[in-house]
Amino acid sequence: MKQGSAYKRTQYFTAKKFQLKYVGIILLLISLTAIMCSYVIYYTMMLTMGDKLSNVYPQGRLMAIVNMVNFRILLSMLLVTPLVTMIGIYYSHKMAGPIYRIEKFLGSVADGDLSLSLTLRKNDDLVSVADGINGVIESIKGMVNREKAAIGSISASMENLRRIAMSKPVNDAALDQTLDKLNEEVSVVRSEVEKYRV
Amino acid sequence: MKKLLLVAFFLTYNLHLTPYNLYADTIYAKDGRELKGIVVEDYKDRVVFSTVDGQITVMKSDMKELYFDTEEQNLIKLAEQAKDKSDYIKAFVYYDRAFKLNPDSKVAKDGIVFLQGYLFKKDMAQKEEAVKRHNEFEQRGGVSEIKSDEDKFNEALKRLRKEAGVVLATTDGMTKIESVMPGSPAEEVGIRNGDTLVAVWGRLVGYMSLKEIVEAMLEKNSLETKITLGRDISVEVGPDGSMGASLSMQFDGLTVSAVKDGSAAYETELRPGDIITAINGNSTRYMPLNKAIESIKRSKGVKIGLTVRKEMVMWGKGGSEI
Repeated sequence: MKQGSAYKRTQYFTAKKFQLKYVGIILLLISLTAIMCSYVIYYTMMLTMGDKLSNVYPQGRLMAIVNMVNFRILLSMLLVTPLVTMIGIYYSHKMAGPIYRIEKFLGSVADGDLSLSLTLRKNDDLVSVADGINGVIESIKGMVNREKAAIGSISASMENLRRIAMSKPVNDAALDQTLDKLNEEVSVVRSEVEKYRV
Repeated sequence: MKKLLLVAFFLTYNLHLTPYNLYADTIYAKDGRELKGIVVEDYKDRVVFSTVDGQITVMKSDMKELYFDTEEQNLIKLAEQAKDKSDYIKAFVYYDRAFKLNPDSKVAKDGIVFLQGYLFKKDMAQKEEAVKRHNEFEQRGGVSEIKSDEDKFNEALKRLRKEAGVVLATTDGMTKIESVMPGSPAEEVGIRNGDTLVAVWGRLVGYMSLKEIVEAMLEKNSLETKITLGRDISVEVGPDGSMGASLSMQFDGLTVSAVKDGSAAYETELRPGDIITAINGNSTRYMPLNKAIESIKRSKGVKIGLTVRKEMVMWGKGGSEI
């Protein structure tokens, strides 16, 4: 597979819907993790130290500490959100870019253009997928070329067969030879086609 | 992009995720003991220290050093020490630093307000004092009078009565407001006979002599005096278990956050900002908010006894050194 040129993608929102969904999932997971961790920390602390803390710390001071911890958790979450969003966009564009190119490439293949090959940019993800797609296209291209050659031979044999049939007297030996050749060429096409399960 | 992410990460980490230290207050006693806990009451000569084994009283004379768990409290301690030594500029610097660390600190704010007033008026007061002394000297025909400590104290009591309109009395180790002069600044701000004087400018006055308290109230050249009073009130709880006030747990304790006009709480002069220190004689210091509310609701249809702390700013008529 050809690697992309040295220039890097500057447009980070290549597939907005996909990337926002990706970032949303990351944020949701982080929020859930934070809530779960906070709950576990609070629960463990209160279970092990709750009584002692509330007997030593005046309630007002204890609540001030709890409020400060809550505020810091919330503030950290708010500060981490843009950071996670940026990271999400950065990493998702490395997937969204190739996906967009693959979609476009497969569209061309579906229209019958097998002359192209799929190229991705440097550092893009899904490189192995692109390699696989290029391998499949190469294999289809080989098959199409072999079938094209076989069809060409079949056409020539058919023409030969027509000439023999029209000649007087009919040359039986030449007829048999041409029919055998035709049979062989049809077998080649059949074996090429039979490789694929439909 | 990678650089930007790296910078954003470090900024986030350094600004708000950096772990901060949480320690207990520590007392290093002269006998070598090291006590860990929380200072819950800080008096002139002792502290009440909350430990895992309960509250204990430790005399300051038995301490080698006392370290608070927050830098702000340590700065306030240094400011108060400087103030006691009349080094007001140093005290102002410490209060200011404490205030910058925690802008919500009432003690630091009060210290700054007091010292700003003092430092601003210092020169003017010194001149006034010099003129006053000269005039008195002239009136006595050039004979200088040396006042005894007792005379000075009696003069201060008279000044307190004249300028603030209160007469103090010490009973059972507590300083009470014995009487309030009609029409005086004390009456205007709502000081009542029988109120307990808890603190002056945020400093607890328990275990102080009457002379020291009067001096604190007539602090040099201060027109305003911030005092904290304790009052026992009796509020009738309605059949629905409500007394017409909302409570919240604030840093200083169980605080009245709102009072409904015309309610039983309003009638007993309970006001937003007041701190309830005891309910039916039970201290609220270690009482969770829901337990405090429950204990009030349980008294539906009957009167409940509340001990309340009120902060008041009394505007006197100013004056000079006592």
